[in-house]
Formats: sequence, C-alpha cells, structure tokens
Amino acid sequence: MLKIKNLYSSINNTLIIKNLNLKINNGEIHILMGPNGSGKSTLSYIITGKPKYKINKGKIIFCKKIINTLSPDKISKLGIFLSFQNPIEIDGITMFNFFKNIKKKNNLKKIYKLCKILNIDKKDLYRFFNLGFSGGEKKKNEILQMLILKPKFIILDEIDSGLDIDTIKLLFKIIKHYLKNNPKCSLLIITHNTNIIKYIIPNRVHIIYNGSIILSGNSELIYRIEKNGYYSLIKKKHNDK
Amino acid sequence: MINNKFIINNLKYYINILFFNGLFLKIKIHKKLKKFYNIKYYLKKKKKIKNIKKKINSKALSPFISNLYTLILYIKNKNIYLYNKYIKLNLNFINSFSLINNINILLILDNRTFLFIKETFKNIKSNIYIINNFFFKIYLKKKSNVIYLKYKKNNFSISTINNIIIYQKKFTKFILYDINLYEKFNYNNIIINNLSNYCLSRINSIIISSNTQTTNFYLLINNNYSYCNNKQYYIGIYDDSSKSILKGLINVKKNTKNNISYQNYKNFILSNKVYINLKPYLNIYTNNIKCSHGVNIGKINKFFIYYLQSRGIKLYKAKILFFLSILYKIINIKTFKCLFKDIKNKLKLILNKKKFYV
Repeated sequence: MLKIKNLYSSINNTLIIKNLNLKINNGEIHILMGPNGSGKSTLSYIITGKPKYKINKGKIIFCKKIINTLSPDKISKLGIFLSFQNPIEIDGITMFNFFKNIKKKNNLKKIYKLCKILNIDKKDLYRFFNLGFSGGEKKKNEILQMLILKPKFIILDEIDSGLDIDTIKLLFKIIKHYLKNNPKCSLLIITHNTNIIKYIIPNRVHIIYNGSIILSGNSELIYRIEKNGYYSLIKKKHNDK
Repeated sequence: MINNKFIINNLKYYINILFFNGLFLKIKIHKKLKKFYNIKYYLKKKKKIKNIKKKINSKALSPFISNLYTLILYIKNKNIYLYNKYIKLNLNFINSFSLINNINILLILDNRTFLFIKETFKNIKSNIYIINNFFFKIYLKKKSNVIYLKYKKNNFSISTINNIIIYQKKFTKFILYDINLYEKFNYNNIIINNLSNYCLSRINSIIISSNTQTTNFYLLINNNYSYCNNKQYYIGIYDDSSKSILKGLINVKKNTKNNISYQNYKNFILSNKVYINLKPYLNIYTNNIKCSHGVNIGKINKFFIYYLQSRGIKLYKAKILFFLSILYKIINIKTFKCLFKDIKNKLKLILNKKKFYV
C-alpha cells in the first residue's frame, strides 16, 4: 500500500529525514518509535504533503501512485488520514458544519450514531470546533473524523498521549473494529508508549533515529525497548556495523 | 459579542425614509407604530449653504450638490410594555445621476426606545459616481438603544464620508456595524460622548479591500462619566494596493471610575503593495479603570490551512473558512446570513486569483 524509497527531506536547508525506507502492505499494523526529535512526526507530515517540507530525493508511493508533489487535500482524497498530536481550534465554525465541509453527504443521523459509539455528547456537535475541549475530547474528535472520512491508510500521531486508560481502551477498540470492517486498511502508529502492545498487536515495529529507520522487527522489539531503552539498542546497532 | 438574533428576523414595525438624489422625498411610518410611538419630523433649511451652492453651480464642470438641510426626527415610546422591542429605520437612497449627497440628520430617541438603523443604496444608471457626505447626530436618552448597520451592497461607484456624533445618557447602548467590501473611498469620523454614567458602546467594523480601495477610520470616545463600557473590534483584509488609516482615541477624564475600554485591530495583508497606518490611543487621567489596546498585522496561519487541507478541503476554501472563523468574533453568522454570503463572494474574488501558498 505505502512505499517510501530512499527519502531525503529538509526544512530551511537542514536535512531532517535521511535515506528512509519503509514498506507497509495492505491490512498491516506498524508502530514507529524513537527518541524525541528523531523525525517521527515530520515523517507523518511529509507523507500527508505539508508544504513546508521539501523532498530532496526519493519517492513516496501510495497505491501505485507517486504522491511526492501532491497537495495535502489531494492526498487525503486518495485515502490517507493523519490524526494530529495537537489538533487546531476553530472559532466560529461548529463541529457539524465542519463535518459538512469535509463530506457533503453527511447526515445528522449518521454522525449521531458515531457520536454514540465514541461517547461524545450530541450537544458537542453544536459547539465550536475543538474550542474549550479537553485533550481527550480533541483526540476523540480526530477519531470521529477518521470514521467519517473512511480512509485506506491511517496515521495516528501520539493518539494515547494525555488520555486516561478508559478512553485509550475505547479508542483502540473502535480502531480495531474499523480495521476488521476494512481489512485492506493499514495503520501506522507513532508513539512513545510501550504499553500500547496491550491494546493492539503490530505486525512490525520500527525505531527511527536521526531521520532514518535503524531497527525494525516484530512486536518483541517493544519489550526490548522497554528493558534497555533506545540508546543502548542504537549503540549495539552501531557496534555491529 | 452581543447576540442580535431577534432583531433582524423579527422586525415588523418600520419607518421608511426615502432620499432621491440627495433630497428628502417622503417618510412612511407603519400604521401600528403610530399607536405606540410618538414620531415627529421636520426639515430645517440652511441659508448659508444655499449661497455656496449657487457659486458651485455657476461653474460648468462642477458636480451637483444636493440641497442642504437637516432632517430632525424625534421618536418616543408611549407604551411601557413595548420596552425591549426594536423598530426599524430604513434610510433609502436612490440616485439617478452622479452627485455629492449631503445628508444631515438629527435623531432624538426618547426614553426606552429601541431602534435598528439600516441604509440601502440604489443607482438607477450604472455609470454613476456618488459621494455621500453624511452628518448624523444621534441623541440617546435614558435606557434607549441603537443598532446601526452601515453596509453597501456590491456597489463600486459609491464613496462615503461619515460624520457620526453620538450623545449617550444613562443606561444607553450604541452598537455600530461598519462593513466595507466594495466602496472606493470610505471615510469614517465617529465621536461618542458619554453624558452620564452606565453607557455602553460597541464599534465593530470589517474591511475587505482590493484594487485601490481606501479607508480612513477616525474614532473618538469621551468617557466623561463613570461605569462606561466601550469596545471596538476591527478586522481588515487587504489585497492589491489598497490603503487604510485607522486612528482610535479613548479619553478617560478625571474623577471617573470603573470604566472599561478596549480596542482591538486585526489585519491581514495579502500583497506587498498594501499600505496600513494604525494608531490606537488611550488618554487616561484616573486610576481604577480597565483599558487596553492591541494591534495585530500578519498573514494567514499556515498550520490551520494545512489541517483543513489534510481533511480534504481545497486550498481556497480552507482560506475562506479561516477568515470566516475570525470574522465570527465580530458578526454572528446566523443573524447576518445575507451579509455573510456577500463576504464569502468578496473573499472568493480575492483568494481565487492568488498564487501565494497559504
């Protein structure tokens, strides 16, 4: 589904992603981990076409199409969805109006159903978009958008940060249910939390450091990270080389 | 922000005043209004200006200046139970040739009268260029309210000079919505004088200008008494080689207390040729008051646009949503539905042709 080949990208002439290779097949769940400032979130921005980031070299291929030069709205229409770490707040536009702008076919009944699943109050639909929402409510709103858009490829950027256990369980339950109904849909989770393995079992786990993927393996890699930390694994890799 | 939902939707009772080529033509008052309101009007001519007019007319190329007089309108609420209900004052201007309209109006609102003022302009011919020179004095007596909407629809050939002076007594409200989308030249000179305690005034203005549109906005608020509340919100979106000068001065005089005054100017520049000059002033001569003023000039928030685009919304639509979300702080979408359509159209005009990213 998604292939990244020899990717080099930069902001303001400083290289951030260096020779990154990644392949995610249909229906696979991947987890991307790494120390702070290693380039996890920037990778998600580059995939979704944020114009600040310049692709110097390499290709991003999604469903056999090169999406290097596409604008973010065209990429999202191809079926890539990114749930943001810090979603924006929009004053003056209600949640329901925002959903209408995303998809014109949206019915109130449909959205009410989805709200029930996510434990979102119906009255919140008539509040301004994310304005005065708590961190958990904002993340729930992101998942609600995901369910409305029905994407083929989902990127969750630190979906579990700042959430209590019950809401994490609920969100992952919904995500799992969505993946069951759409078996071709694949998922990329960006997190720091090693406890994520309790809620979802990945096919592959990758460690990113200094803008390139250094290690990748099965779900066991998460346990190794929890035991030894990132830097010891990175040192070992360097020594082996 | 004050919610005026009930005002525009449910206003049945009206006073229509018609000006043809700058001359007062007729006044029409709703039948039921006469029962509950005491409405008087008369014209007062100015002899001196007549002589000036003669001199100007002697020159062949001089523009026509409409006859000069002051229309004095007095409205009094007879019935106490009608308190809190607005009536509508429509000022209709129809022009058949290019001229300078001199319109002097003195409006006196007696106790507990609520008024919503709206201006409408119509040009019979398309090639007309009109300069409106307003001189509007409004005198608000106890517990009376005025909401004044200044907006000209899709008309490039009108430019206005507004001189508005307001005198406020106890427990009065004055709210002005000044929306300028298409005017070539717009000059506003607004003076608000508080004549006693507990006066409230809001001035909300939106300017979306392109080409060579120019706006001058001068404001003076005199807080002579205590417990007064004045707030001004100003949002400007500028494109091409448009110009604007904004100067707001709030005076808080000696021996007053608990006054609240606030000025906020937000401006977005979409091209390099735009000229803006902003000067918010505060003259404070007492303690125990709340006063602040702020000016922002900047570009569109890029992350905001990226977020909307990542949800499949097109670039220019995302920009429009961005501006509408900011304009909402001044005007409620539900109350001014027709107005928002025009604002959207104007934004489309500006943003469609733009090549700059976000």
